[in-house]
Amino acid sequence: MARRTKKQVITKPGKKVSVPELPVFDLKKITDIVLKAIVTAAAATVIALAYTGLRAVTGMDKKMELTPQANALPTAVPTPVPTAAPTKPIPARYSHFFRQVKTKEEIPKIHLEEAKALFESGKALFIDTRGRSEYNVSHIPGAINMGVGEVAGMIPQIKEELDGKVLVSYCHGAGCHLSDKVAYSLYEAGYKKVAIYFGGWPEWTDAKMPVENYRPPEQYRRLFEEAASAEEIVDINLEEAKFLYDNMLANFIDVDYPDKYDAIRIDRAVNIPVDKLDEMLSGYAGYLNRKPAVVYCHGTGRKSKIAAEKMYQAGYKKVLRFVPALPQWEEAKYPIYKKQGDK
Amino acid sequence: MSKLRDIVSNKYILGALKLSLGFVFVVASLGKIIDPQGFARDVYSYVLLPMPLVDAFAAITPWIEFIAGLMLMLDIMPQSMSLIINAMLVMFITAIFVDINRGIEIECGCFDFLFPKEKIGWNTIYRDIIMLVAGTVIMLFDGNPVKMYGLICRKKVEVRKARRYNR
Repeated sequence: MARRTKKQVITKPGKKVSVPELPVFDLKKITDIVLKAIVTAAAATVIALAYTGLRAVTGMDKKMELTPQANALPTAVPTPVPTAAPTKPIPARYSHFFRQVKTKEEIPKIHLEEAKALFESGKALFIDTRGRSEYNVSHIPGAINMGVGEVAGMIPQIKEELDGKVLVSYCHGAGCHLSDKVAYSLYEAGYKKVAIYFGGWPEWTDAKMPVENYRPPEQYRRLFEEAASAEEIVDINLEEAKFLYDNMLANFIDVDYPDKYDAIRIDRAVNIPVDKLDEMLSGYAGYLNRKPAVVYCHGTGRKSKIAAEKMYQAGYKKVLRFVPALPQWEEAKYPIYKKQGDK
Repeated sequence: MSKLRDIVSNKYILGALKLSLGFVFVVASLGKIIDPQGFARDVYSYVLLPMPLVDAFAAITPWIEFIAGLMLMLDIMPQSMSLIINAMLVMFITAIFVDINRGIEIECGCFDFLFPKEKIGWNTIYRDIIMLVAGTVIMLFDGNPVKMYGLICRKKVEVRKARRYNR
């Protein structure tokens, strides 16, 4: 008997009518479906925990801790990178990096040892494929920032820098494939002396290799320093705020009440109302540790003053105040988020 | 309307949807299973879950995705598996939506090694919505609870169906 997609219903004796199957909404069936889903999810959870335990026991990876320190702002004075670094000749076993690869698949995937040797030879140019803001905070010395979509556009501008060097792309380490994609794009653009540093940023920093931190232009340097005390928190002007905003070098925090924030705010600002600050801060720890915070409110500046002091006391010493924020920002026609339908 | 229902209940369309949706989730979850730390970093960058939950979430959800995707591909309990997948999609869409509105940059996404680096944003949401539609269709219009493409329990199921609708 062939299977039918339509069920057969007998309405009168002998008369059959075909009706397409309706989704049956009876409670029993729904309960059945939901129960099966829950049981499956529970079984998957058990498997996941067993797998994680197995990974931990066999030491497949370190304790699954996030590495916020790799993203944290450098608190120490940035180590000055010697401009004419004494270069070491590259060991013979790495000489193949200086040969052109014949196919995309041949592009070598390297780890710390080779990356270190290439770095010290002075003949490699590292390509940081992470986001601009991460690059700005810290990167391998001499590295240039090239995102996946930016390769074609940037090549004409930096041709001289790329020529003759072994291009080594990197990003967040294993699991992140931005470095692969940029390496392939470079290969396709004709740069066949490429390598992919698979260990990436985490491996480089874990090994305490030298890094180059963002060196802000002289006039903005004070924005990246810790305030000396809660009373000495720096007030920034519109130009400084715009600089930080354009280069994504700071987190903008609207500390006013949610309804004010919903109505109008500096675009991309996050809302941490001053009265809820103490409870909310811990949830934003990772986010806030990465960059200085620019705090503003919608009124006379009282709330932003209190919020800035609270943040300072909570340990976020790179906090700046922007007052008066919205009037200046709006007048200059800088990016603002306004709720549609208002005004 | 009933024509649409007809089309959607067609077993080949449903089979194609199950295979593709299941495949997508299996592939997506494999990368996260192999590198749970990288995935945990991405979850962390959403700034949504409190710290202790981030690790647990990063360890557990890829396996749920993998098993649900695999069972969906094999057509085992497709309605329940698509319910699980739909729930995950709703969760992803909500998380991305919340973070877009908060203006938080999220760079590396869930399909890191399949799709080029695109800023996580509206495109991701639209893609997830399409998958959600497929999952909903399977959840509502697929038939019997345990199927395996009609290879098992065929006769029993048919008799049960006939008895249920031929009162």
